[in-house]
Amino acid sequence: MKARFGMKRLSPLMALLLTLAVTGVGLAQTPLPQPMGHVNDFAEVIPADVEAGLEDSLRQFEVDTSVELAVVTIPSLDGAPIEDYAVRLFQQWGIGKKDVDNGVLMVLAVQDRDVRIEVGYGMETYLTDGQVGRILDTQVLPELGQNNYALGILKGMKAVAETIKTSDYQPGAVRPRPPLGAVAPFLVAALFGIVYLASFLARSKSFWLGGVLGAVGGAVLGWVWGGLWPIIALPIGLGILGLLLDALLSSAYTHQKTSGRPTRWASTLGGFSGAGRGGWSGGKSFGGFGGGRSGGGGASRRF
Amino acid sequence: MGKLVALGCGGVFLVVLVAALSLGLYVRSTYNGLVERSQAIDAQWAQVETQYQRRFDLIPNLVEATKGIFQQEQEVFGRLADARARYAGATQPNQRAEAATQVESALARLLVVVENYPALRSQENVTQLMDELAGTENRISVERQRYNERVQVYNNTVNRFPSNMIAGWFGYEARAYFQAAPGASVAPKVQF
Repeated sequence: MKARFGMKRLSPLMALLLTLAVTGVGLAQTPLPQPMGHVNDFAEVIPADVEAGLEDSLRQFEVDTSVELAVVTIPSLDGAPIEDYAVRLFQQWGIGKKDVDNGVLMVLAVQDRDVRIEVGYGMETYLTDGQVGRILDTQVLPELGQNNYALGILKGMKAVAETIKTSDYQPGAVRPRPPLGAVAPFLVAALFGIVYLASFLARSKSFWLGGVLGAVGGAVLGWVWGGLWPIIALPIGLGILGLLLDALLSSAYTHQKTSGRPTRWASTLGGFSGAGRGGWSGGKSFGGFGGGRSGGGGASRRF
Repeated sequence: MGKLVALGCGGVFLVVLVAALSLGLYVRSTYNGLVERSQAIDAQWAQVETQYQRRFDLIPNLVEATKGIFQQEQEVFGRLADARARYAGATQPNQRAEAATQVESALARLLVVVENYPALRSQENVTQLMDELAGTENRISVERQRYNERVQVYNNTVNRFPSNMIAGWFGYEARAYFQAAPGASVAPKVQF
């Protein structure tokens, strides 16, 4: 019963930590939508089959070149300049690979009749403002002028992709990482596995062993890693993690035991079954963009 | 009883130790944060100056492409050349910023003029130059805005309690925001 009480105390804390992690720093501006894929037809001006086809092409283009192209249609900008909206959305979504910044975003604001192609930092040399303006003038505007939104977007993205392919753009090389830095996540993961195992095996006897083990293991790992921060942060972090995990597993065990349900590993989903409600919401097939940045490059037009 | 007292002493010692350690860590992280944020501001200002330079590099091309067409706009070109020379001669960042803002109104005027000349608008190289110029103006406004955001983050640390005490000990002062010249805050927009 003691362990179960502990569990009840932990839940709100964990909820609070999660909330803080998710909210982060938010500026008081109009909220931005979440990305649904490469094509985000929030204004619903692209027929479903065209949208699916474009999504496939843009995904394939990313596979071939690592360049992330995104399309967004919105009904209205609510008075904001399209340049501001595009650069904010670009930053929030992180279009393009991190540090390579090889993303391109096309924004269409239907009611404002504004269109913009925003170019990531890393693509500015291969897709200049002048070229973007020309693509808008020759490919996009003639179609948008006749309210052929889908065709204008298709032709625009096709021209963008062709311009990149015919430029001397090379898919960004993968940067080598420092040697221990590459192994460290695995070491932490292995240690976590040991903590978990100990927590699981000792869940009927203690609800703190995992924490102690985590702290000790973290101290050793921090010492091997070197530097002041790993030595301080790893024992504390892994200690708290182990404590949480053990408390969770122990309370789950008590719950299963008192309600007469099985407590073996396989039949309790690794010991978590009985640990109360919650769990992770199912993800979509779109994995998100890579964390690229832009700095206002590109061109805008009114149609 | 003696055992209990020893346990209590140990507990108090532990609490004091943890408190001292966390205070030390707090000072350390606040100080390092100030250093980092201050350097981030300088790095961001370098971004702004990169875009200023890009703008100045574009001007000769623009002048070349449009000069023959409007003789009556010589005054605009003169102002542009003036500000450009002043920018090149400036040694202090705030002098450069001043010269850069002076160029802004002249450029905005030039863009308006070009828009009023259909013969000019239809020339592809002029359109392209105008796009490059508008793109640069937009880049400048984006980088300036990011500069101000970084100054805001830094100033929060400098001004808020208790980190303001640490900033005071180490002589870190609030930094000035970038303020665009009146009328120059809106980047000119090209609409053909």
